[in-house]
Amino acid sequence: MSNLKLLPLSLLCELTFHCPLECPYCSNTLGYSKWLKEELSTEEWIRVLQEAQRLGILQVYFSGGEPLVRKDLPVLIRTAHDLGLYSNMSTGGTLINRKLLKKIKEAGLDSIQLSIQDCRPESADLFSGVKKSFEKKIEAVQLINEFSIPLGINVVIHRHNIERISEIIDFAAALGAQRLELANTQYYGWALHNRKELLPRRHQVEKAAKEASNAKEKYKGKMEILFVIPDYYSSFPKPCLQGWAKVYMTVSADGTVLPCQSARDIRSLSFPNIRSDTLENIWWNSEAFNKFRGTDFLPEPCKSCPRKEIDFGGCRCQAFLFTADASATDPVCIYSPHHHLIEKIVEEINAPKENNKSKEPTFVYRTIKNSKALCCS
Amino acid sequence: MHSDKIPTLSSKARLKFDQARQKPVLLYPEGLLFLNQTAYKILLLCDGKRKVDDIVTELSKEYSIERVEMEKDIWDFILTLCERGFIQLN
Repeated sequence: MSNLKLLPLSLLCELTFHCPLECPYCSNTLGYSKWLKEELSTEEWIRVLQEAQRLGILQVYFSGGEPLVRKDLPVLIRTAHDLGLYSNMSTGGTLINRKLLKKIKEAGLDSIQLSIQDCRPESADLFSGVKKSFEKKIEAVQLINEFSIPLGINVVIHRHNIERISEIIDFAAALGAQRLELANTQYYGWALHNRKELLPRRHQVEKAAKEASNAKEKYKGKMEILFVIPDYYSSFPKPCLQGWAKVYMTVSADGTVLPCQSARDIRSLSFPNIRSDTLENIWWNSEAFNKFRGTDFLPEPCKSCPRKEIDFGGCRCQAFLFTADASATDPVCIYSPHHHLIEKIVEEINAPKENNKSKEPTFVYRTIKNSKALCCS
Repeated sequence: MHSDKIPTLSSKARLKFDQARQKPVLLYPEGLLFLNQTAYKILLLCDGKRKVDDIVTELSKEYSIERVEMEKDIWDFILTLCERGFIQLN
Protein backbone atom coordinates (compact mmCIF):
# COMPACT_ATOMS: atom_id res chain seq x y z
CA MET A 1 0.00 0.00 0.00
CA SER A 2 1.20 3.46 -0.83
CA ASN A 3 2.21 5.52 2.18
CA LEU A 4 0.48 8.48 0.58
CA LYS A 5 -2.80 7.00 1.72
CA LEU A 6 -1.67 7.23 5.30
CA LEU A 7 -0.61 10.87 5.30
CA PRO A 8 -2.52 12.78 7.97
CA LEU A 9 -5.10 15.34 6.82
CA SER A 10 -5.92 17.34 9.93
CA LEU A 11 -4.19 18.65 12.99
CA LEU A 12 -5.94 19.74 16.16
CA CYS A 13 -3.89 22.29 18.07
CA GLU A 14 -5.04 22.51 21.69
CA LEU A 15 -3.25 25.81 22.19
CA THR A 16 -4.04 26.18 25.86
CA PHE A 17 -5.95 24.56 28.69
CA HIS A 18 -6.99 27.96 30.04
CA CYS A 19 -10.62 28.84 29.43
CA PRO A 20 -12.90 31.54 30.79
CA LEU A 21 -15.83 29.10 30.71
CA GLU A 22 -16.38 26.12 33.02
CA CYS A 23 -18.57 23.74 30.99
CA PRO A 24 -19.11 20.48 32.86
CA TYR A 25 -18.97 18.49 29.60
CA CYS A 26 -15.56 19.70 28.48
CA SER A 27 -13.68 17.01 26.60
CA ASN A 28 -10.34 18.08 28.09
CA THR A 29 -8.81 15.62 30.49
CA LEU A 30 -9.81 16.03 34.17
CA GLY A 31 -6.22 16.58 35.21
CA TYR A 32 -5.53 19.44 32.77
CA SER A 33 -4.41 21.71 35.63
CA LYS A 34 -1.16 19.70 35.87
CA TRP A 35 0.07 21.06 32.54
CA LEU A 36 -0.98 24.72 32.74
CA LYS A 37 2.60 25.90 33.16
CA GLU A 38 4.01 23.72 30.40
CA GLU A 39 2.36 25.41 27.43
CA LEU A 40 4.30 25.42 24.17
CA SER A 41 5.86 28.74 23.16
CA THR A 42 5.04 30.65 19.98
CA GLU A 43 8.22 29.35 18.34
CA GLU A 44 7.36 25.78 19.23
CA TRP A 45 3.86 26.11 17.75
CA ILE A 46 5.29 27.64 14.58
CA ARG A 47 7.59 24.63 14.28
CA VAL A 48 4.59 22.30 14.77
CA LEU A 49 2.72 24.04 11.94
CA GLN A 50 5.72 23.91 9.60
CA GLU A 51 6.25 20.22 10.31
CA ALA A 52 2.53 19.55 9.87
CA GLN A 53 2.53 21.14 6.43
CA ARG A 54 5.60 19.13 5.39
CA LEU A 55 3.91 15.95 6.61
CA GLY A 56 0.94 16.52 4.27
CA ILE A 57 -1.56 18.02 6.71
CA LEU A 58 -4.09 20.26 4.97
CA GLN A 59 -6.24 21.58 7.81
CA VAL A 60 -5.57 23.01 11.22
CA TYR A 61 -8.11 23.37 14.01
CA PHE A 62 -7.07 25.87 16.68
CA SER A 63 -8.78 24.91 19.88
CA GLY A 64 -8.14 24.62 23.59
CA GLY A 65 -9.34 25.43 26.28
CA GLU A 66 -10.05 28.77 24.69
CA PRO A 67 -7.59 29.54 21.87
CA LEU A 68 -8.24 33.29 22.18
CA VAL A 69 -6.51 33.24 25.56
CA ARG A 70 -3.24 32.97 23.62
CA LYS A 71 -2.00 36.43 22.67
CA ASP A 72 -0.03 34.91 19.77
CA LEU A 73 -3.10 33.40 18.09
CA PRO A 74 -3.04 35.90 15.16
CA VAL A 75 0.63 35.03 14.54
CA LEU A 76 -0.16 31.31 14.52
CA ILE A 77 -3.13 31.81 12.17
CA ARG A 78 -0.91 33.86 9.86
CA THR A 79 1.72 31.12 9.92
CA ALA A 80 -0.86 28.47 9.03
CA HIS A 81 -2.27 30.67 6.29
CA ASP A 82 1.14 31.37 4.75
CA LEU A 83 1.87 27.64 4.77
CA GLY A 84 -1.30 27.08 2.73
CA LEU A 85 -3.13 25.33 5.57
CA TYR A 86 -6.90 25.77 5.93
CA SER A 87 -7.41 27.20 9.41
CA ASN A 88 -10.38 26.87 11.74
CA MET A 89 -10.84 28.24 15.22
CA SER A 90 -13.08 26.56 17.79
CA THR A 91 -14.00 29.18 20.35
CA GLY A 92 -16.41 29.90 23.17
CA GLY A 93 -16.56 33.42 21.78
CA THR A 94 -16.62 35.37 25.04
CA LEU A 95 -13.20 36.94 24.46
CA ILE A 96 -13.98 38.21 20.97
CA ASN A 97 -13.89 41.94 20.36
CA ARG A 98 -13.75 44.00 17.20
CA LYS A 99 -10.03 44.72 17.28
CA LEU A 100 -9.05 41.11 17.89
CA LEU A 101 -11.43 39.74 15.28
CA LYS A 102 -10.10 42.17 12.69
CA LYS A 103 -6.55 40.97 13.41
CA ILE A 104 -7.62 37.35 13.11
CA LYS A 105 -9.44 37.90 9.86
CA GLU A 106 -6.47 39.75 8.39
CA ALA A 107 -4.21 36.91 9.52
CA GLY A 108 -6.20 34.66 7.18
CA LEU A 109 -8.55 32.60 9.37
CA ASP A 110 -10.86 30.54 7.14
CA SER A 111 -13.69 29.73 9.51
CA ILE A 112 -14.96 29.90 13.07
CA GLN A 113 -16.80 27.30 15.06
CA LEU A 114 -18.52 28.93 17.99
CA SER A 115 -19.96 26.95 20.85
CA ILE A 116 -23.28 27.94 22.35
CA GLN A 117 -24.64 26.20 25.43
CA ASP A 118 -28.33 26.82 24.88
CA CYS A 119 -30.78 29.21 23.23
CA ARG A 120 -31.96 30.65 26.54
CA PRO A 121 -29.62 32.94 28.45
CA GLU A 122 -30.31 31.59 31.96
CA SER A 123 -29.69 27.97 31.00
CA ALA A 124 -26.74 28.83 28.78
CA ASP A 125 -25.03 30.65 31.65
CA LEU A 126 -25.85 27.79 34.02
CA PHE A 127 -24.15 25.29 31.69
CA SER A 128 -21.09 27.45 31.00
CA GLY A 129 -20.80 28.26 34.70
CA VAL A 130 -20.27 31.94 33.88
CA LYS A 131 -22.80 34.76 34.14
CA LYS A 132 -23.44 36.87 31.02
CA SER A 133 -21.44 34.48 28.85
CA PHE A 134 -24.49 34.04 26.61
CA GLU A 135 -24.77 37.78 26.07
CA LYS A 136 -21.08 38.00 25.08
CA LYS A 137 -21.45 35.13 22.63
CA ILE A 138 -24.31 36.87 20.87
CA GLU A 139 -22.20 40.01 20.51
CA ALA A 140 -19.40 37.84 19.13
CA VAL A 141 -21.71 36.30 16.53
CA GLN A 142 -22.76 39.77 15.35
CA LEU A 143 -19.13 40.75 14.90
CA ILE A 144 -18.26 37.50 13.10
CA ASN A 145 -21.11 38.13 10.66
CA GLU A 146 -20.06 41.73 10.22
CA PHE A 147 -16.57 40.55 9.24
CA SER A 148 -18.10 37.89 6.94
CA ILE A 149 -16.16 35.04 8.50
CA PRO A 150 -17.84 31.69 7.74
CA LEU A 151 -19.57 30.58 10.95
CA GLY A 152 -20.52 27.19 12.27
CA ILE A 153 -22.29 26.82 15.58
CA ASN A 154 -21.78 23.91 17.89
CA VAL A 155 -24.19 23.07 20.70
CA VAL A 156 -23.32 20.25 23.07
CA ILE A 157 -26.54 18.34 23.70
CA HIS A 158 -27.38 16.72 27.02
CA ARG A 159 -30.34 15.88 29.25
CA HIS A 160 -30.98 19.47 30.29
CA ASN A 161 -31.17 21.07 26.82
CA ILE A 162 -32.17 18.20 24.51
CA GLU A 163 -35.87 18.99 24.81
CA ARG A 164 -35.29 22.45 23.34
CA ILE A 165 -33.68 21.12 20.19
CA SER A 166 -36.15 22.76 17.75
CA GLU A 167 -35.82 26.06 19.55
CA ILE A 168 -32.02 25.77 19.45
CA ILE A 169 -32.08 25.04 15.71
CA ASP A 170 -34.26 28.07 14.93
CA PHE A 171 -32.03 30.18 17.13
CA ALA A 172 -28.84 29.10 15.34
CA ALA A 173 -30.45 29.82 11.97
CA ALA A 174 -31.43 33.31 13.14
CA LEU A 175 -27.82 33.89 14.20
CA GLY A 176 -26.72 33.23 10.62
CA ALA A 177 -24.91 29.91 11.10
CA GLN A 178 -24.06 28.09 7.87
CA ARG A 179 -23.72 24.87 9.80
CA LEU A 180 -25.10 23.66 13.10
CA GLU A 181 -23.58 20.76 14.90
CA LEU A 182 -25.89 19.34 17.55
CA ALA A 183 -23.13 17.45 19.25
CA ASN A 184 -24.45 14.90 21.66
CA THR A 185 -22.17 14.79 24.64
CA GLN A 186 -19.34 12.31 24.29
CA TYR A 187 -18.48 10.78 27.60
CA TYR A 188 -14.80 11.49 28.11
CA GLY A 189 -12.98 13.83 30.47
CA TRP A 190 -15.31 16.15 32.36
CA ALA A 191 -18.38 14.84 30.55
CA LEU A 192 -17.65 11.34 31.80
CA HIS A 193 -17.31 12.67 35.32
CA ASN A 194 -20.70 14.40 34.99
CA ARG A 195 -22.38 11.62 33.04
CA LYS A 196 -25.20 11.04 35.53
CA GLU A 197 -26.32 14.64 35.08
CA LEU A 198 -25.81 14.75 31.32
CA LEU A 199 -26.91 11.51 29.70
CA PRO A 200 -30.37 12.03 28.17
CA ARG A 201 -33.25 9.59 28.56
CA ARG A 202 -34.34 7.38 25.68
CA HIS A 203 -37.62 9.17 24.99
CA GLN A 204 -35.75 12.49 24.86
CA VAL A 205 -33.27 11.13 22.32
CA GLU A 206 -36.01 9.73 20.10
CA LYS A 207 -37.99 12.95 20.11
CA ALA A 208 -34.89 15.07 19.45
CA ALA A 209 -33.79 12.86 16.54
CA LYS A 210 -37.20 13.29 14.93
CA GLU A 211 -37.18 17.06 15.41
CA ALA A 212 -33.65 17.38 14.05
CA SER A 213 -34.59 15.35 11.01
CA ASN A 214 -37.59 17.61 10.30
CA ALA A 215 -35.44 20.70 10.73
CA LYS A 216 -32.91 19.34 8.24
CA GLU A 217 -35.62 19.50 5.58
CA LYS A 218 -36.80 22.91 6.71
CA TYR A 219 -33.33 24.47 6.51
CA LYS A 220 -32.07 22.59 3.47
CA GLY A 221 -29.75 24.78 1.41
CA LYS A 222 -29.66 27.45 4.15
CA MET A 223 -28.07 25.78 7.14
CA GLU A 224 -26.57 22.34 7.33
CA ILE A 225 -27.66 20.45 10.47
CA LEU A 226 -25.75 17.59 11.97
CA PHE A 227 -27.30 15.42 14.67
CA VAL A 228 -25.97 12.04 15.65
CA ILE A 229 -27.63 10.10 18.47
CA PRO A 230 -25.53 9.61 21.60
CA ASP A 231 -23.47 6.47 21.10
CA TYR A 232 -24.75 4.89 24.34
CA TYR A 233 -28.09 4.59 22.49
CA SER A 234 -26.61 3.18 19.26
CA SER A 235 -26.30 -0.48 18.38
CA PHE A 236 -22.89 -0.02 16.82
CA PRO A 237 -19.98 2.23 17.74
CA LYS A 238 -18.94 5.39 15.95
CA PRO A 239 -16.14 5.05 13.38
CA CYS A 240 -13.91 6.98 15.72
CA LEU A 241 -11.48 9.30 13.84
CA GLN A 242 -12.04 7.08 10.78
CA GLY A 243 -9.52 4.79 12.43
CA TRP A 244 -6.67 5.30 14.90
CA ALA A 245 -3.79 7.40 13.50
CA LYS A 246 -5.27 7.36 10.02
CA VAL A 247 -6.10 11.00 9.20
CA TYR A 248 -6.01 13.00 12.45
CA MET A 249 -3.46 14.05 14.98
CA THR A 250 -3.61 16.31 18.01
CA VAL A 251 -0.90 18.38 19.60
CA SER A 252 -1.93 19.31 23.11
CA ALA A 253 -1.06 22.48 25.03
CA ASP A 254 1.97 20.90 26.72
CA GLY A 255 3.30 19.41 23.48
CA THR A 256 1.95 15.90 23.98
CA VAL A 257 1.08 14.42 20.60
CA LEU A 258 -2.05 12.28 20.53
CA PRO A 259 -3.89 10.26 17.88
CA CYS A 260 -7.11 11.56 19.47
CA GLN A 261 -7.75 14.42 21.87
CA SER A 262 -9.14 12.05 24.51
CA ALA A 263 -6.34 9.50 24.18
CA ARG A 264 -4.38 10.94 27.10
CA ASP A 265 -6.78 9.04 29.35
CA ILE A 266 -5.57 5.71 27.94
CA ARG A 267 -3.10 5.23 30.74
CA SER A 268 -1.72 1.99 29.34
CA LEU A 269 -0.03 4.00 26.56
CA SER A 270 2.63 6.66 26.83
CA PHE A 271 2.51 9.48 24.33
CA PRO A 272 5.38 11.31 22.66
CA ASN A 273 6.04 15.03 23.03
CA ILE A 274 6.83 17.49 20.27
CA ARG A 275 9.58 18.97 22.47
CA SER A 276 11.68 15.85 22.10
CA ASP A 277 10.63 14.53 18.68
CA THR A 278 9.37 15.60 15.27
CA LEU A 279 5.78 15.35 14.14
CA GLU A 280 6.86 13.21 11.21
CA ASN A 281 8.74 10.69 13.32
CA ILE A 282 5.84 10.51 15.78
CA TRP A 283 3.31 9.89 13.00
CA TRP A 284 5.27 7.09 11.37
CA ASN A 285 7.35 5.51 14.10
CA SER A 286 5.93 6.08 17.58
CA GLU A 287 4.49 3.12 19.45
CA ALA A 288 1.41 5.10 20.45
CA PHE A 289 0.47 5.91 16.84
CA ASN A 290 1.20 2.44 15.47
CA LYS A 291 -0.46 0.48 18.26
CA PHE A 292 -4.02 0.50 16.89
CA ARG A 293 -3.46 1.37 13.24
CA GLY A 294 -5.58 -0.63 10.82
CA THR A 295 -7.77 -3.46 12.11
CA ASP A 296 -5.26 -6.27 12.74
CA PHE A 297 -5.08 -5.57 16.47
CA LEU A 298 -8.82 -6.14 16.96
CA PRO A 299 -9.94 -9.17 18.97
CA GLU A 300 -13.20 -11.06 18.48
CA PRO A 301 -16.03 -10.28 17.95
CA CYS A 302 -14.53 -7.57 15.66
CA LYS A 303 -11.93 -9.85 14.08
CA SER A 304 -14.47 -11.85 12.07
CA CYS A 305 -17.05 -9.05 11.75
CA PRO A 306 -17.53 -7.29 8.38
CA ARG A 307 -18.37 -4.07 10.21
CA LYS A 308 -14.74 -3.70 11.27
CA GLU A 309 -14.10 -1.92 7.97
CA ILE A 310 -16.95 0.49 8.77
CA ASP A 311 -16.39 1.33 12.42
CA PHE A 312 -12.84 0.00 13.06
CA GLY A 313 -14.07 -1.52 16.33
CA GLY A 314 -15.17 1.89 17.61
CA CYS A 315 -13.38 4.15 20.02
CA ARG A 316 -10.11 3.07 21.68
CA CYS A 317 -10.61 5.53 24.53
CA GLN A 318 -14.08 4.21 25.32
CA ALA A 319 -12.80 0.63 25.13
CA PHE A 320 -10.12 1.47 27.68
CA LEU A 321 -12.41 3.44 29.98
CA PHE A 322 -14.84 0.53 30.25
CA THR A 323 -12.61 -2.53 30.00
CA ALA A 324 -9.10 -1.30 30.92
CA ASP A 325 -8.04 -2.79 27.56
CA ALA A 326 -7.67 -0.23 24.77
CA SER A 327 -7.66 -2.92 22.06
CA ALA A 328 -11.08 -4.30 23.06
CA THR A 329 -14.27 -3.91 21.05
CA ASP A 330 -15.97 -0.62 21.94
CA PRO A 331 -18.59 -1.68 24.54
CA VAL A 332 -21.22 0.39 22.73
CA CYS A 333 -21.38 -2.45 20.17
CA ILE A 334 -24.21 -4.88 20.89
CA TYR A 335 -21.81 -7.76 20.16
CA SER A 336 -19.21 -6.60 22.67
CA PRO A 337 -18.82 -8.95 25.65
CA HIS A 338 -18.83 -5.77 27.76
CA HIS A 339 -21.99 -4.28 26.29
CA HIS A 340 -23.87 -4.96 29.55
CA LEU A 341 -21.82 -2.15 31.13
CA ILE A 342 -23.39 0.35 28.73
CA GLU A 343 -26.82 -1.19 29.15
CA LYS A 344 -26.59 -0.83 32.91
CA ILE A 345 -25.85 2.91 32.65
CA VAL A 346 -28.66 3.43 30.16
CA GLU A 347 -31.09 1.48 32.38
CA GLU A 348 -30.21 3.53 35.43
CA ILE A 349 -30.79 6.78 33.59
CA ASN A 350 -34.12 5.58 32.24
CA ALA A 351 -35.44 4.11 35.52
CA PRO A 352 -38.58 5.93 36.61
CA LYS A 353 -37.78 8.30 39.42
CA GLU A 354 -40.06 10.29 41.68
CA ASN A 355 -39.82 14.03 42.21
CA ASN A 356 -36.96 14.24 39.81
CA LYS A 357 -38.57 16.20 37.06
CA SER A 358 -37.65 19.76 37.93
CA LYS A 359 -34.45 19.10 39.83
CA GLU A 360 -31.66 21.57 39.18
CA PRO A 361 -28.56 19.88 37.78
CA THR A 362 -25.63 19.43 40.13
CA PHE A 363 -22.57 19.65 37.90
CA VAL A 364 -18.93 19.43 38.77
CA TYR A 365 -17.66 22.37 36.72
CA ARG A 366 -14.39 22.39 34.80
CA THR A 367 -12.32 24.68 37.01
CA ILE A 368 -8.67 24.60 37.99
CA LYS A 369 -9.71 24.05 41.60
CA ASN A 370 -11.89 21.05 40.72
CA SER A 371 -9.21 19.66 38.43
CA LYS A 372 -6.65 19.79 41.22
CA ALA A 373 -9.04 18.28 43.74
CA LEU A 374 -10.03 15.41 41.42
CA CYS A 375 -6.55 14.56 40.30
CA CYS A 376 -4.87 14.62 43.68
CA SER A 377 -7.47 12.31 45.18
CA MET B 1 -31.83 24.90 -15.31
CA HIS B 2 -30.87 28.47 -16.01
CA SER B 3 -27.65 28.46 -17.92
CA ASP B 4 -27.10 32.16 -17.41
CA LYS B 5 -26.63 31.58 -13.67
CA ILE B 6 -23.17 32.46 -12.34
CA PRO B 7 -21.56 30.02 -9.91
CA THR B 8 -19.00 31.23 -7.35
CA LEU B 9 -16.96 29.27 -4.88
CA SER B 10 -18.34 30.21 -1.44
CA SER B 11 -16.18 32.00 1.10
CA LYS B 12 -15.83 28.96 3.38
CA ALA B 13 -14.46 26.76 0.59
CA ARG B 14 -10.88 26.86 -0.65
CA LEU B 15 -9.55 25.16 -3.72
CA LYS B 16 -5.92 24.16 -3.92
CA PHE B 17 -3.53 21.71 -5.44
CA ASP B 18 -2.09 19.46 -2.76
CA GLN B 19 1.61 19.03 -3.51
CA ALA B 20 2.08 16.13 -1.07
CA ARG B 21 -0.49 13.92 -2.79
CA GLN B 22 -0.33 15.55 -6.22
CA LYS B 23 -4.10 15.95 -6.22
CA PRO B 24 -6.50 18.89 -6.33
CA VAL B 25 -8.52 19.31 -3.15
CA LEU B 26 -11.47 21.36 -1.93
CA LEU B 27 -11.14 22.40 1.70
CA TYR B 28 -14.03 23.50 3.92
CA PRO B 29 -14.56 23.98 7.67
CA GLU B 30 -15.34 20.41 8.66
CA GLY B 31 -13.45 18.45 6.07
CA LEU B 32 -12.18 18.15 2.51
CA LEU B 33 -12.80 16.51 -0.83
CA PHE B 34 -10.12 15.25 -3.16
CA LEU B 35 -11.12 16.05 -6.71
CA ASN B 36 -10.58 14.53 -10.10
CA GLN B 37 -9.17 16.65 -12.91
CA THR B 38 -12.57 17.51 -14.40
CA ALA B 39 -14.07 18.55 -11.07
CA TYR B 40 -11.01 20.70 -10.44
CA LYS B 41 -11.37 22.40 -13.81
CA ILE B 42 -15.06 23.13 -13.24
CA LEU B 43 -14.33 24.67 -9.85
CA LEU B 44 -11.48 26.77 -11.24
CA LEU B 45 -14.01 28.23 -13.67
CA CYS B 46 -16.51 29.02 -10.86
CA ASP B 47 -14.90 32.43 -10.51
CA GLY B 48 -17.98 34.59 -10.17
CA LYS B 49 -17.60 35.88 -13.76
CA ARG B 50 -18.47 32.95 -15.98
CA LYS B 51 -22.01 31.68 -16.48
CA VAL B 52 -22.67 27.93 -16.27
CA ASP B 53 -23.20 28.15 -20.01
CA ASP B 54 -19.68 29.54 -20.51
CA ILE B 55 -18.20 26.76 -18.38
CA VAL B 56 -19.97 24.11 -20.46
CA THR B 57 -18.68 25.72 -23.66
CA GLU B 58 -15.10 25.96 -22.44
CA LEU B 59 -14.92 22.41 -21.16
CA SER B 60 -16.63 20.86 -24.17
CA LYS B 61 -14.04 22.53 -26.37
CA GLU B 62 -11.19 21.41 -24.17
CA TYR B 63 -12.32 17.80 -24.03
CA SER B 64 -13.72 17.79 -27.62
CA ILE B 65 -17.03 16.45 -26.36
CA GLU B 66 -20.46 17.63 -27.51
CA ARG B 67 -22.03 20.28 -25.27
CA VAL B 68 -25.19 18.23 -24.72
CA GLU B 69 -23.15 15.36 -23.36
CA MET B 70 -21.38 17.52 -20.81
CA GLU B 71 -24.12 19.88 -19.76
CA LYS B 72 -26.01 17.54 -17.45
CA ASP B 73 -22.89 16.28 -15.67
CA ILE B 74 -21.63 19.79 -15.05
CA TRP B 75 -25.01 20.89 -13.74
CA ASP B 76 -25.28 17.86 -11.45
CA PHE B 77 -21.85 18.57 -10.02
CA ILE B 78 -22.56 22.26 -9.47
CA LEU B 79 -25.95 21.59 -7.86
CA THR B 80 -24.50 18.95 -5.52
CA LEU B 81 -21.85 21.38 -4.32
CA CYS B 82 -24.47 24.11 -4.07
CA GLU B 83 -26.52 21.94 -1.75
CA ARG B 84 -23.50 21.48 0.47
CA GLY B 85 -22.87 25.21 0.50
CA PHE B 86 -19.55 25.11 -1.36
CA ILE B 87 -20.86 27.00 -4.39
CA GLN B 88 -23.25 29.91 -4.63
CA LEU B 89 -25.39 30.38 -7.73
CA ASN B 90 -26.39 33.92 -8.55
